[in-house]
Amino acid sequence: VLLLLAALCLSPRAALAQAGATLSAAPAVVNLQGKTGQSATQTLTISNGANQVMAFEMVAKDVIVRNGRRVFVSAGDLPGSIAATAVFSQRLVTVSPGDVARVDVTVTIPPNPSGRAMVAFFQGTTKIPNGPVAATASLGILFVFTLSDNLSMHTTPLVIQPPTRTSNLAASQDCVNSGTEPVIAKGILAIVDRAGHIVGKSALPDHRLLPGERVSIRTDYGGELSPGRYRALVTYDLGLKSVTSTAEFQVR
Amino acid sequence: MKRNLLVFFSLLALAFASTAFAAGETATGTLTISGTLAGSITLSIGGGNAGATTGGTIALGTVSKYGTYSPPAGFSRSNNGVGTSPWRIGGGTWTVTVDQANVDTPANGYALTSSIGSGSGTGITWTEGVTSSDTPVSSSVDLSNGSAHDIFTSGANKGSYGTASTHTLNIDITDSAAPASVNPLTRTITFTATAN
Repeated sequence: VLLLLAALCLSPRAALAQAGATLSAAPAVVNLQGKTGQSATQTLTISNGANQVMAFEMVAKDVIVRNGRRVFVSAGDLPGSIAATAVFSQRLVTVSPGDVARVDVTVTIPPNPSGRAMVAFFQGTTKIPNGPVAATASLGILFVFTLSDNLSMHTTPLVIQPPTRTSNLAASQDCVNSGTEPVIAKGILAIVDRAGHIVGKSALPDHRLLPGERVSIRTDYGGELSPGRYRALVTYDLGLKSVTSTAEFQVR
Repeated sequence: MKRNLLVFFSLLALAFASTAFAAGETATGTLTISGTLAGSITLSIGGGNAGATTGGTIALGTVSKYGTYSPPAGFSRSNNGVGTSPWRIGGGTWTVTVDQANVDTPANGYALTSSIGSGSGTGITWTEGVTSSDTPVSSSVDLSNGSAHDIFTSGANKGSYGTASTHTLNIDITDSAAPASVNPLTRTITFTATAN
């Protein structure tokens, strides 16, 4: 008889945490402005909503954009790594159920930094003894650094899909951060009639773009538009400058 | 007349006294409230058919290709006939939900990685299937090398806050996989979320 009993000493332990238990971290994002050589210290908080003790290791990684997507890179792997400068007030953190832990992290902007962002991770290290498959969680806190006024964003042509009886007007375009600094693009769509009057407005969702990052932005306008020709203007406020694009369209 | 004047001034004095008393009752003070609003994110594991939760465990029990096996909720053993290899323990599902409050750019969504922490061992493959209304980097992720693998990243592959993604675990085991000096089915699957 072929009986291949794997000696997989799997525990019957199935003590599951309470349903809906969560792990939370704050702040989620830290926006910092400064110059190379400057340091900043930030307190990070993690809350354990599970019903078992959770352990974490504090880990920093650089964030760069590769092929339009964000990539996490281990600290020190890139020249000018910001993550490599991260100093945590404690490297290992244990949080009891329902409890909160705080860790300070100090980062220093090196000369010629490799990027403009890093992540400080509460990296889950909880080991479950005696065999079962376990699921645990880690949370990362994004640090974004603005080191100069070189804010720039390119946009693709604005595409307008006029409203129909069954669909709203839709505006879409791609935005690329073409500068050296991160930007938060706060966009607004304005619809202007032939007489130059603004007949509709719609805010676009804010987007953070790291240098080199691309995002497709789309918004709908649900207001009524009478038949006729219109011009759509989308203006992105980047803080120190703005970027505007326009497109004309016809409502039938 | 004198008496009337006395009454008048007495009433006037009383009026002032009650005004002063009332003023004492409503004396004002200040209390300065200070605080900083911080954006926050939260991750929860739950739902699905496997009963998994954040920090929870799934006991697969003693697993073998042949013979009786009672899998835990959501899991089943398959492809375990004579001559077939690899065979599988899988089908368990759970959901991962990442939510936020007060993040400055929620439209950027979040990034999510998944890892089993260390290599799965020769002849054993851990695969995680991902279904979501968002667009994951891949609908099937081979976790076997123990590295962190992207589930959601940014841009078109971002995860949307508050939208649960469903994750299915399959473990494929060849007949030649060594049984376990290192307990190859003992792994902690770690989901890591970061605000974009």
